[in-house]
Amino acid sequence: MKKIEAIIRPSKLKDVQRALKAAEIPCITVVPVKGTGLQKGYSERYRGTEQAMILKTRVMIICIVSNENKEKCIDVILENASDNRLGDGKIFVYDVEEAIRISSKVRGDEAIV
Amino acid sequence: MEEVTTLVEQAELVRSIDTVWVALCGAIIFLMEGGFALLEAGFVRSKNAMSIIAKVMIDIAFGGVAFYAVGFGIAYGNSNGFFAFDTGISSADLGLGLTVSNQLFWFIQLGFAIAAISIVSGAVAERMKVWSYTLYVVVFCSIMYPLVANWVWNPNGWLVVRGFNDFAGSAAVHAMGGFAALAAAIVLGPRIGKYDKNGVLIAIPGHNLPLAAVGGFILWFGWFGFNPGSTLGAVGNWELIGKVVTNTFLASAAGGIATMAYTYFKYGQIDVTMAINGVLAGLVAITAGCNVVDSGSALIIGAIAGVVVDIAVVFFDTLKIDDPVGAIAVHGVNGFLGTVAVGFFAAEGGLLFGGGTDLLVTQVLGVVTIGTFSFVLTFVLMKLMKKTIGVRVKPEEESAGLDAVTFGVEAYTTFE
Repeated sequence: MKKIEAIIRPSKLKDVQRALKAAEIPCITVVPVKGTGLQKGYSERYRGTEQAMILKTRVMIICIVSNENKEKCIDVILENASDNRLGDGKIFVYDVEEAIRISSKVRGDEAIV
Repeated sequence: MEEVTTLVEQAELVRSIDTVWVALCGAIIFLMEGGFALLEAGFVRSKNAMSIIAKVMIDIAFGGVAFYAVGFGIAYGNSNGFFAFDTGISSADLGLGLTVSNQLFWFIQLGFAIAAISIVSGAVAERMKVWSYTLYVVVFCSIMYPLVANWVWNPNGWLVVRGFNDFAGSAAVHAMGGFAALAAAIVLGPRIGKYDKNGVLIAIPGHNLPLAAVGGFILWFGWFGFNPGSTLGAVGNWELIGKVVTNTFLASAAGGIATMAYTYFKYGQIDVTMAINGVLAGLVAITAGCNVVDSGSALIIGAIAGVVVDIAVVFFDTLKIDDPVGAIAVHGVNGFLGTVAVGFFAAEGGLLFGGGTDLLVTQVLGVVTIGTFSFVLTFVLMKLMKKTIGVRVKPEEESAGLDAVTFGVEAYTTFE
């Protein structure tokens, strides 16, 4: 099992969610996040005062998928989350030791679909 | 016999109509407290949002009772020109030619008193101790504000006798509150994090700007009770009320336009939070003269206020006077400006309309006296409290937020 964590533009969330559902990876967790990558934040003004290092608003999608679904999930996100420019976000992949569905108490791959 | 009855009925009818009008305006003015609460809550950080609601509650509750028990008698009792010593609401004729009961007159004046103190609550936001603030509120509403109201609106007040024109309180309410806010902010010092180690200004953005805007809109609405309600009666005032509401609107709109234009040309974008302040600045500035200036003058006064407020907000920031909601710039500076503007723009007696300098001198004298009185008394009182009971919360509490430490409540609970 893998945990796929993708930080993407909020405007791409609906597209990615729709595409993941179509690819039969319907289970996602979404977290609103603030951060900066290579672009190092930007400036805003508040009541006449310049504010440096404003963090950009992004969303983080978390999907736990079986090993065989890993590449499919990554492809779907890559296809649907990109504007082909800096600031599109990043994808991180982690190993997952165990998954347990609370209602039925089943474990492993069965618990995540 | 029949004629006498008709006369009695007519007088009763006049009182009834005026009572409806003043009661309505009094209630509208009272709603301005909700405007203050939301405006200030939106402009502070979420960790202090409830503390500012508490401060406005204290303004109304403690300030209101203080104004009832002591303040009103000082303001509208039998005055020697400077003060009076009645208590509670007397049933005697106040000499104002009122056609409403003294109680209803007290109610509408209550709205002015608590509006004045609510100006201060914004400037001391996020760092002042709640009980020190409460003590200040009681002193302000029972003695400080009533003395100024006595000078400006009591029929024997020394400024009234000189012909000072402050229709609904640019000086008595807004400059009074604004200069008190200035002194309080100076004694308190800036919030932690407002300036870095090298003294460089760091913006501390408000946590909910739409909420602040709603507060601004409620205040805007409230002003249409605040200014026309100061006629204190509808009968015989139908033309004046029309003039006052039109001038009030035109000045506020001009203030908004001026701020939008100023920020657009200065920064390349319209600054929306400043536009809220711009509208309020226009309202504050027209409050003194809305009964005596033409519509064109109202537009000019509002436009000047809308620019001045933008410059003033930045100016106080550079002086290291931290005013989280812009109360000093909006109410202090523009209360001053609006009062002086009457001396220039009054259709009768204004310098620009061939009236000479008499009115202008009186207006300047009045507002300088009121501003100085308010500033000095607040400064001394705050210093005294600082030496004794303290005025500022501990740094740990300021970092954690007043909501959590003083009030044990969060504005936004995270789960459930």
